Amino acid sequence: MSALRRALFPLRLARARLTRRLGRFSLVVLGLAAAAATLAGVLAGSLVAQDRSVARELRDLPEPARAVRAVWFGVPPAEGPGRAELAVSARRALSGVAPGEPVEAVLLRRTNIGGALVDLGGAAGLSRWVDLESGRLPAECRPELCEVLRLAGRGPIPRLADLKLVVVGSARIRSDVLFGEFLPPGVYHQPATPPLLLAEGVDALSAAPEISYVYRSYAWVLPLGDAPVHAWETDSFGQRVASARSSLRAVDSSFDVSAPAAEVAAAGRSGRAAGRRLLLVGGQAAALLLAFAVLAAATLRRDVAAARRRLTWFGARRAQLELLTGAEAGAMALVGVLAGWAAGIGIAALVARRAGSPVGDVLSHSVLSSGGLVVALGLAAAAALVVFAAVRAGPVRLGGLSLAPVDMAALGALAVVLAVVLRGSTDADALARDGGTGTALLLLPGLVAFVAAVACGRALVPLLRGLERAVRGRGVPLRLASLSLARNPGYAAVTIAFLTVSLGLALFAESYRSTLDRGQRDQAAYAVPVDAIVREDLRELVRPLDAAPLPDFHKATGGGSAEAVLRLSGNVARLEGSRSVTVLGLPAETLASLEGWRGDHSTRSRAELARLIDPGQNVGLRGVALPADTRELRLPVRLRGTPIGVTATLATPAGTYVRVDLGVASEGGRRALRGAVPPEARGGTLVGLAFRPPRRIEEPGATAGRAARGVLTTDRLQLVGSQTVEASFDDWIATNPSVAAVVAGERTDFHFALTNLVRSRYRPRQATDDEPIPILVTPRLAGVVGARSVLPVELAGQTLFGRVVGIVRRFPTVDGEAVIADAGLVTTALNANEPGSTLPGEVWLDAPEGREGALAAALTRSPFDRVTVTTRAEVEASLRSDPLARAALLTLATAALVGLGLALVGLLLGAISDLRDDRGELFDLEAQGSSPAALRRQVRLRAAIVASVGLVGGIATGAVLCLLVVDLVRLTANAAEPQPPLLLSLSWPVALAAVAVYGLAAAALVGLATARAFRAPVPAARASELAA
Amino acid sequence: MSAAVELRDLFRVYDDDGTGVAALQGLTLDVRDGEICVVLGPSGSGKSTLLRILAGLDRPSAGSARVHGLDVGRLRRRSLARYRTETLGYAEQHYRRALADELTARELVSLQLGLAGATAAERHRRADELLERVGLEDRAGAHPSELSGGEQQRVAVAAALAHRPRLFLADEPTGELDAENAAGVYELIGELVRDAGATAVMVSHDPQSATIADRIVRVRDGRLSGEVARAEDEESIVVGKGGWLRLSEELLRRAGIGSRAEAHLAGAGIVVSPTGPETAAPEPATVETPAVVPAGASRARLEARVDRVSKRYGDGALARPVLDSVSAVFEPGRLYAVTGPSGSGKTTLLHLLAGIDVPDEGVVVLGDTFVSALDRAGRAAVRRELVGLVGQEPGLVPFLSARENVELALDLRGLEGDAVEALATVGLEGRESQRVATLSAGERERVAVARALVTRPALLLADEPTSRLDQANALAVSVLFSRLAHETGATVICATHDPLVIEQADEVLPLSAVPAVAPASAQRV
Repeated sequence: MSALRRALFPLRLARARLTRRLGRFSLVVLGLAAAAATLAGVLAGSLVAQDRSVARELRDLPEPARAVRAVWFGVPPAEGPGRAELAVSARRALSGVAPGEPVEAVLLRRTNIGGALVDLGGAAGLSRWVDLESGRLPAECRPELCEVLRLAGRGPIPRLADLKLVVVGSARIRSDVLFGEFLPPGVYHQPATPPLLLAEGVDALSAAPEISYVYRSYAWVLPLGDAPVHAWETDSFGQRVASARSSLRAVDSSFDVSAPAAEVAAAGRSGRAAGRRLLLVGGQAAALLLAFAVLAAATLRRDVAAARRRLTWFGARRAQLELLTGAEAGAMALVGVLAGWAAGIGIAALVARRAGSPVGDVLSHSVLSSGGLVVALGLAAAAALVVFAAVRAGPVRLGGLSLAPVDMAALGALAVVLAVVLRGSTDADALARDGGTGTALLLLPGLVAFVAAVACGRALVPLLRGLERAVRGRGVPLRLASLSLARNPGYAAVTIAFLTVSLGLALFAESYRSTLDRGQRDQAAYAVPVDAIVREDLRELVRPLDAAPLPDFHKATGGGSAEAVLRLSGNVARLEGSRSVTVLGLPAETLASLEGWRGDHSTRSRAELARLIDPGQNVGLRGVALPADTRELRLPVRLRGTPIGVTATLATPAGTYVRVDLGVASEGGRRALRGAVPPEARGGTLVGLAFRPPRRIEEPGATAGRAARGVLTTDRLQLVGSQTVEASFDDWIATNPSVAAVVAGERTDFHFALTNLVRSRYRPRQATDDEPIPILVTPRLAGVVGARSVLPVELAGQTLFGRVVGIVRRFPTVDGEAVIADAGLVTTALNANEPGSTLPGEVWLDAPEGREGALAAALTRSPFDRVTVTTRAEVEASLRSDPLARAALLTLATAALVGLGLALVGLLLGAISDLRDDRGELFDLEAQGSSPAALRRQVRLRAAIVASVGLVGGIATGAVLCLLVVDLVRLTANAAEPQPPLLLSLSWPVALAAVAVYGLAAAALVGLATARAFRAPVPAARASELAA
Repeated sequence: MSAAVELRDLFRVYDDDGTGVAALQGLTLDVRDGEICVVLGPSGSGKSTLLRILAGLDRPSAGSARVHGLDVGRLRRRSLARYRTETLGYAEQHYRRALADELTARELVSLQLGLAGATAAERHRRADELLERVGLEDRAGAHPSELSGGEQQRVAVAAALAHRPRLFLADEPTGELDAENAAGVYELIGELVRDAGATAVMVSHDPQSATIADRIVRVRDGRLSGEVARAEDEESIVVGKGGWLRLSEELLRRAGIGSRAEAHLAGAGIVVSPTGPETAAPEPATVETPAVVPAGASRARLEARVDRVSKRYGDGALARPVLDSVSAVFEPGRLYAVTGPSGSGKTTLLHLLAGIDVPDEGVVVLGDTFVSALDRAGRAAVRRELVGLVGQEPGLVPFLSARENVELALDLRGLEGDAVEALATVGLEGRESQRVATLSAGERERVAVARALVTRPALLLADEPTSRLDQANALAVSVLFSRLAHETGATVICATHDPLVIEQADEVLPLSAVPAVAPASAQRV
């Protein structure tokens, strides 16, 4: 018993010391509390950000996909479960997938009922799903009176004996969530449809005997807007959906369950990667605060050593001394971490509430989860250990070649860092994983900071000795300040190491923030390198130039530019692996003015690249210009041989192509082939004639493979309008040997041997006929070019020959291998043989400075509302509003501020510590005649040296961290694969401002701390000694 | 009576940066069980080292130290802790350092019992009993900072004796107390030690400590040089191993013995008589005095004067008067020895003269400068111009070498000088490049003296400059100060206990301790 009392007595002493000297220990406790609060806040905040991100991903899904839907298809059987039984099963199965009550709907297949074709459906609570356009909402559908809304279509309403349908209004579907793709939303290119009628309720429609034979679908829909899937449910959501599907299939094989499980899982993975990256930043902030606690604990070292010395005089045993120190460190750690964790819970609750996430769930899945509590306890244990080590450590001794345990630990940390570096970069999936690369990366900042701190300590001695030699012969205060640091670094060495870590982490956080911020701009500019890009709406199938001619787009820019751009998918046969390439044809001048072009896209500038592909002349498709009033094409011909058809291809002024059939030439003397020129082609260009073999040859059959042979002799082509103009075929060529043209004055003889295998055209010689067009390619393509740097690219049955004139590592809007060329050249090259085969699919728009908003607004209006418009501002805004991105940037900014703030506090502590610890030495100097002002100057100079060396160390640490993390963690702010890759970016104004703030604040704080020093009438040290 | 403490040929050599410094040089001493033994000797004679070895806080380089049969110099760490817990009571010289301010008086007194595993009831009972014995029963809940110096020292003594140790060690237990408080503490120690049946070894400068001693032993240069028992009037000379014995300087001078003597039997005794060429020289000519007092005269001849200066420290109940209406004039070209018991204000007087401190009343005048009227910066300027100061603690900048410290003093004053020569003057040839942190206490003291001398001050103030020096060096420094005053015209004022310095002084100015509530002009030179 006595032994137990003896063993535990130090705990009583520890309690007495802690409770009665709270002030001395409070700084350590505060530092630990801040570390714990930061970590807890980041843990919960990251979950909130993930939750918001998942919600956003769900919100961005197409409406029909934004629901869990149990659907039964079929004709109700005479035997077997009725709709009511199906409903019970469906509701039961869905109840386990997500909270909320499913909405029930029925949709009958389009059918002829009572002599009228009709689409008929019903749903519960129509007011939620439709916008009334006329009339009123229907009442509950009953067999004797079933009120319905007309949603679309025209035609008679069926008359049924046991289900009297009455239209009470018209409406349009507000949301696709309920019926999904079963009610097609599009009206463009759609043929006229029968009436689509929607009733209130499902029961009457389902039970009506007259339509019981109609194939139908019953749907039970759980909109995910009502019962969102949270970040912590993304994995289990898919399992629950699968489970519901299985259970319903067991009831009836006609059941199916659809839900955005894959999308939710992907959002969850992305969120986890982002969350772990946030932890990387939050972890570094926590490590920094832990380092601050160590710094604060180091100030207790003398006090603890004195207490241990006193107890030694009183006969305390070593175990008792260690227990006392351990209990104090443990209590500080426990109190600090508990208080901080509690504060973190409060912060998390506040953040969750503001973000709209369920507070209880967020807490129970983060800081109050078993994992979260383990993290808290781990932090407390780590804090206790480091505080214990800090207060028990001997005086700082630097220099020498022998390795201390801390050096060995630093070497170990360095080995881990090197292993991470050698393992190479990681992606979102790797980061999202719980172990391996992800974990190593999370530790990276802390490990690098630790190595930097030890290296800084090691480098300090020679550095300070060099400084001391450099200032020999200067004033006494400067000499003493440098000498004291060089020969007696003591607490200053700890301060410098701390500054190295804190400023390094601050610089890293700010640079990483700046890099991610720039990454968002780069991403937006890469996706849309002009102000706006207009593309075909794949639902409406309207190409931009079909929606409006190019001049209209130009007008919408308000004086900017509108350029038609080609985007084609092709193959390069010589490529290993994926042979797919994107051919982008754009005007060379557009390339020269692309937004967000980065130096790493190519070693050459935009202007230089533009010059390389610029044809330098008009390379549009040449041909015979048609006067604006040309009504008819007339071609006098005489044929010897098999009859053949002749077709003229006209390029319209709008850039489209039309074909004009001139008829069939047959033997029997001279006659004129004629074709009417459609109005849209008037004023255009004749770009070729095609010779068509007879049908029997074109169609496979007995005569297939036998050529149609003969000679077609033509006079000059006549363009008939208000006047008839004749055009010659000078400088026209045949596209293949099956047609040989012999021009003799006004007459041209076409010797033909046509088959159905080869298209035979006769067309003007084009600018692209003699030479491959100049192209820019990505490095992989450059590696497979042939002789004379020519690269053949297969494009929809044609081969585009390009001559590689430059290399781009990547090109905006293109993901993967790219071939970039002048749009005119590409169009001409491809349309020369197959006019109309290549049409611009995109229009790139640039508005004058300041008119980007007006352009975006104009593009929302008709006729541009039929095409897809993507603006750079919109993409950037979307990236910036991403919850994960915002959380990452906010966390980094906070970490940078915390790092800078703590560095200043550390510096202040250092100055105060110098005044306290060196008071004997300072007193002696004063006794020798050193003036108070000189002593103040000495302390300030020492602080200035510490601050400067710490700043240099911090910059070096930050630089290493930036290079490593940006290179290794290849994720954008919203945790996606970066396209283009992240480019380390330091915001120089911010960095310089931070250095200025650091310098000024450090000067102010140290100035304030030392301002009152040595101002009392007598030296404080002496007075207190005498009072004692 | 058996021996509680047996010290045999005890050596303790500190090896600082390759330099051996002997604190104990073959000390042999027995202390009987139940005996109170007071060890007297100048500072630096090895008294504290002796106590630290007995307390198990230090280990001897050679020889043995047995306490109740335990060889404490060779005990393992665990046994040593048990020895300190069960056998030892230790009262530290600086009692404030021994008393943790976060604990109350009651907790402090019961601390050692708690560490030994006593129950709370046992601890409290014993603490209350002891606090009553020392007259502090009504201050049991007070923290050290709420107690006066005497009260704190009584708590420290009670705390050291609470667990009824068999050996009580006290290092200068009244060093920071005034005479009245010191007497009370001595009386208390005597009572408590005898009640506990303990053996006590108490180190002191203070002759007052002899009042409770059964035996007084003197230590000089790390050896026992003499002892006197309570029952005896005459101090006996200790005969060391191999016939070594040490005669006092005074005796030698009276006999006219210089560097050589001869001894012959005379009946039952031995007669020691001078021999050789210096037989008639009463001066300590055997001590090598510095060949050169720092070159040139002092920079000015300066009369220093204090006029009715008073000084007290602390506020309210804790206020302690140190000087009360003291007046004195110190003329140039003379060496003054300011003497007096601890707490009599010697150091304060020197600090007032140096301008480190300012009097509550009265004036301090150096030449025609009213130092006490200047601000802190002004006083620092006066020190730079006129004053050389050797503090009670040597001070110095620890990370600088001896030479750099001396050069720093020159730089601060913008003077030229030869630091190496100054160090040679105090016998530190070859040690110039050594950092002062690695020098022995005596060497540091000499560096401080060299630093003060090199600036050729008009006023040299030295506070116990020989306290850490062995006899030869103490004598050398004393003579140096004397010659400095006489040959350069400097005013030299030493606060000292050391008879060697006092002997060299032209004038001795005794100060007496001021009672807590002192009548005006109770202390006047």
